[in-house]
Amino acid sequence: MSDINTFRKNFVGIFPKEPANLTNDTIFRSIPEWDSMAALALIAMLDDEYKIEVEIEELKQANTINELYSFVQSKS
Amino acid sequence: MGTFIKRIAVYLPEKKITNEQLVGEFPEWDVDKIANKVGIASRSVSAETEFSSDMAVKAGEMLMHENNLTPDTFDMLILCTQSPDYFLPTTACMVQHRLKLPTSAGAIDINQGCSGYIYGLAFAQGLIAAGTCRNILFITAETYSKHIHPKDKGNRTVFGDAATATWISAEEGIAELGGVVLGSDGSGAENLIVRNGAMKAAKSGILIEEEKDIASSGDYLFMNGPEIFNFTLKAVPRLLESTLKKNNLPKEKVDWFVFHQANKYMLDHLRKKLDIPEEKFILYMENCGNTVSSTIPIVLKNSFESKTFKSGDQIVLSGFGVGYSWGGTVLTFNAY
Repeated sequence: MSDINTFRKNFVGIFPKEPANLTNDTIFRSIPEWDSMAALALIAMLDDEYKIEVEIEELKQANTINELYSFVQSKS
Repeated sequence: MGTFIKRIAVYLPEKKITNEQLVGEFPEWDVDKIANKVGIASRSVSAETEFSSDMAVKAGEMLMHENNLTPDTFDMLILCTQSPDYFLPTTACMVQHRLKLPTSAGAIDINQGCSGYIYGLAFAQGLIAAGTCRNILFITAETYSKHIHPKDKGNRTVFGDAATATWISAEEGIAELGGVVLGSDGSGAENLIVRNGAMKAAKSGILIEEEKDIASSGDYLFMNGPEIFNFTLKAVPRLLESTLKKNNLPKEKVDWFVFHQANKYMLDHLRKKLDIPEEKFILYMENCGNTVSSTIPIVLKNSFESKTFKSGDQIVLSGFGVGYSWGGTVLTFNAY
């Protein structure tokens, strides 16, 4: 399992360009860049980089990069 | 007794919607973003007064015309559609009449989406193996555009209307059909659905202008993209494995992979996940879009004509989507 900085880099990579003011505690679902394409890219990234299969409902429990990182750690 | 694909014809409606036109309607979108992600530049859309039966008839007529066939060639018509003209009768009966197929030919609709081509091949194989039929006209015809809300830019970008006609026969043809695997999982029914308009829920009839939230209107096609994507990541690797196993075919011996052309983004990801070389994986949706049950026969027809396949090539077909449902098989190519 990679560290939080690598995870952050992977997460930011799901957007065409890095969203401004995105901290590890920002509710990423409420930033303007978040859309269904980003949701697809997030699932693809988790599958590619961390080989984890998710259920969308459980994924929805994670709303910040920090929460998502903990979720991924619990899965891998 | 073998089952063979003898010929395929494709009908695409005349009207095209380009990315530029979509951007004109939805100025917040940028063309490059759309084109790069979904791999679709334009899609065909049926005319206002053109329905699945009309498109099915056109595809059937093209098949007969292009190959000098007469309607009495066929002793069965299978029509795959999720946008039938009526609840009843089955659209296939009206198409039988309009194509002047003999009244001794059976006719039935099957309601299946992105896996529909594989389901149709499976049924045709069963009818031929049982000796019920020898020459089957299998048509796919879909007007999803009529299911989609005019303001639903996502679905309007992805889906296109089309019809295809495949001649499936007990006699030697272009490609021989191998073992078929099918599957379904209705737990995903809610994720790709037109909720209203049938028995359980009438159309709400809310005027489009009053529509605030497209996703909550049951009158139109609703697709939960992330859920569908997630489903394919789980289902398609298993489908491929079971298809290969059923046909005793090692993955390295496969010459071509023809998947349902959902969108480029999803297919690129699946291809990498499944470790399929890019040169064996066919993408063909740029000028027609995701045409639901027609995507696989459109790829096949195009590949036949461009002489992509060589004699003896093993071609894996995989269809997956709405239902959820899925199906896979292997074709052995002879000659075109």
